[in-house]
Amino acid sequence: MSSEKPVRPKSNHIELAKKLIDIVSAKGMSVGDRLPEKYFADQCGVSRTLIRSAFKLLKERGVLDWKEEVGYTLIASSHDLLDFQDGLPAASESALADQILLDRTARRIAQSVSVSALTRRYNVTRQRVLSALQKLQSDDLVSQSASQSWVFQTLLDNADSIKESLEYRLVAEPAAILANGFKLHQQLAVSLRKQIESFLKVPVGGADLQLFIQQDVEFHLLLATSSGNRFLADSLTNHHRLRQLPNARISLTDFRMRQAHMEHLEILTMIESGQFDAAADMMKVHLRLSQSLRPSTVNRGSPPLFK
Amino acid sequence: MSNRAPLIAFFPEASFGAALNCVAIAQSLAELGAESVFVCHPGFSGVFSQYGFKEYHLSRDVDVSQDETEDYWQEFIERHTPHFSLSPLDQLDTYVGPTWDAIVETVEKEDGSLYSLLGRLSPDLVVLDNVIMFPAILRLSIPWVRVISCVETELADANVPPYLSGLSVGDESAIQTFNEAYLKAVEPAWHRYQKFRQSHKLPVLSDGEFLEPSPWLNLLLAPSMVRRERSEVLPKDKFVYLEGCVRREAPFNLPVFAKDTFPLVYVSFGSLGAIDVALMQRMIRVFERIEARFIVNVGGFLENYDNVPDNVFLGAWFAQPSIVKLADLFVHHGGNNSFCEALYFGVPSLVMPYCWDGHDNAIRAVETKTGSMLHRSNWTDEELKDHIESLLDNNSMKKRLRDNARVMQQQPGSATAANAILALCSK
Repeated sequence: MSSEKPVRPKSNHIELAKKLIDIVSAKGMSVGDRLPEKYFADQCGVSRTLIRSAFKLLKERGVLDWKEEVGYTLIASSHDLLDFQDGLPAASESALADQILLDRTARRIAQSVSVSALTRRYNVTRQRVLSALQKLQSDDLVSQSASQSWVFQTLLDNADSIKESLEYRLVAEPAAILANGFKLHQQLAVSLRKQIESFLKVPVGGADLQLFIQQDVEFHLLLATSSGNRFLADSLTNHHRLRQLPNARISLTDFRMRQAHMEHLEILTMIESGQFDAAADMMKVHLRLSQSLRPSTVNRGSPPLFK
Repeated sequence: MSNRAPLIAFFPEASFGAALNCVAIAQSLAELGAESVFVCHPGFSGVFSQYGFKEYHLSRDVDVSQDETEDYWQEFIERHTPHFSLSPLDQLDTYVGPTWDAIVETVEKEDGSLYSLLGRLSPDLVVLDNVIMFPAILRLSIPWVRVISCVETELADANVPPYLSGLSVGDESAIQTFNEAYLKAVEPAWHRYQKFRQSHKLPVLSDGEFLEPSPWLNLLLAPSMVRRERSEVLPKDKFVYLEGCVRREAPFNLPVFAKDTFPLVYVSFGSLGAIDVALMQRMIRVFERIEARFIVNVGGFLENYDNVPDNVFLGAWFAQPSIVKLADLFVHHGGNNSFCEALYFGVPSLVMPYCWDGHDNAIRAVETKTGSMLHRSNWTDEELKDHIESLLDNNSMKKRLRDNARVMQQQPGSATAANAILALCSK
């Protein structure tokens, strides 16, 4: 047994390890399941080198095992995963970055903001604000302008960006399914199917919107990262990350959540049976049906309002 | 007798209240095995299908470009925003008269399309939740149900103050003045509409009336707590009162606030109210000074807001019943659906009326001690703050409303309506 003083892991590895645990938990993965590096790298939008570092940390904490021919596999139960996550040291700049992002999506801070303003708002050091902003920058969520202020990327919180998002997804998502190298991550597809089927068993009126959004994003990420085309996978992964942010415009009925999940299952079935053209067409139908549908007429006697 | 499920065609007017009130009834009908479909304005495309109902759209008469529509709305906002701050009497010439004219124009344009659509669908029954009759329904001789979901004053009676007046019973001189002004303001639209009815060989209605009671069934969205004493009792076999009519929505996950123990206030003036961004921004600056969490519906204008206080959360649309259920106070414009949802969940109302039924519900909230009212824009910051804080502190009102909500929830209006509709189908 080594008597060396333990080395404190890097904060970005801790943060990534937490993210990996979130993904593993959300997928309902079980002891013995394999964790493909490429899939997790795509999901987190980071390099495979970083993923390996985070896997290594999880191995040191007894969450994963590694074998030459097999790679990393899960050895902790779902209950132990939660305990492990609680035991990880907090990555403070990550918490601040999350708070800044949350406040931006709630329009509590403006689209363009200075470091000084954030320092005052959160009562923290300039260095901590800078670290948090750099973290958001690495996720392509903010950029630094010529005037040294920081500008948030356009989020999916207004009618124009939502419309453009749909137009983009109508092109990219069917293309991902039809890409030459498309190969469905079978194990993750099976796990996701189970989660969706479990969601559909909840009595009518009890559908959880947050859980739906999480599973919906998982589904679309699964197909993007199965495309075998790195450019499609990267651009769709970045885009779906925007969809995971808190969004004041999302509100779905119980019926539509169930209907959308039925469509997800149908697309998976089509892919599994080799009907890629039909699955790509079905994806288009699914995306069109998933548009936020709200009345464009607001009062008796008045004409439509396109807003 | 056919064994197939009865087909009910809902035809709500193009407003949120009527549309979502009908969704609630259709959800209850579905539980009883009936099939409901919706006939609607193209502007409501997708609204009913997201609840699982088939939609049939009336055709658009003219192609209007998006630029033209946006120009229209800019002009509409500039023209009417000041009118919403006028008294009900002063709104007659500026808003009510022109709106009736637009409603009649809609009937003239869409009646032919409705006739073809209903003829093709051949429903067992039509449910009309509107403020005006479409001749197509009478011409097709299909049994029809009238839903009075706008406000109870819509159905005149000697003991009921005039529709849209915001007056109380007993204020005789003001009532007379309002009645005369109302008839004068709506006269051009009324004549135009009667001419249209006559062209379809339908009888002329009384002065100022645009819709007759149904000879089959009428449903009144007027919970007993705010119901009015009528001089003429309405026959029970033709007029059924509803104790609220609340649709089922998915549960709402509250956003995280810095102070999660503070009371929760939901603020929504409907999409029309959201147009007045400057007023909303002024209110939000007051909310910042109140120890409460505010969830505010700002409609399609979210991008107009920045520097939102930490105790305020804005959204473009909320599944209203799911939030009202969690709220300690509901600040709204007096739309009947909003008022009834507040009652159904036992939540006090602060009514700040803009127009139409809002005025009648505002005064009714005060008369029945189910809330209070405040002018929509003519207030000081302290007045708005005081109104909100005193309603949040009014424990006796809260208890009375909670007790009443339990009674209402035992006899939900949507189920009462569905049973009455199915009974009519089986006659």
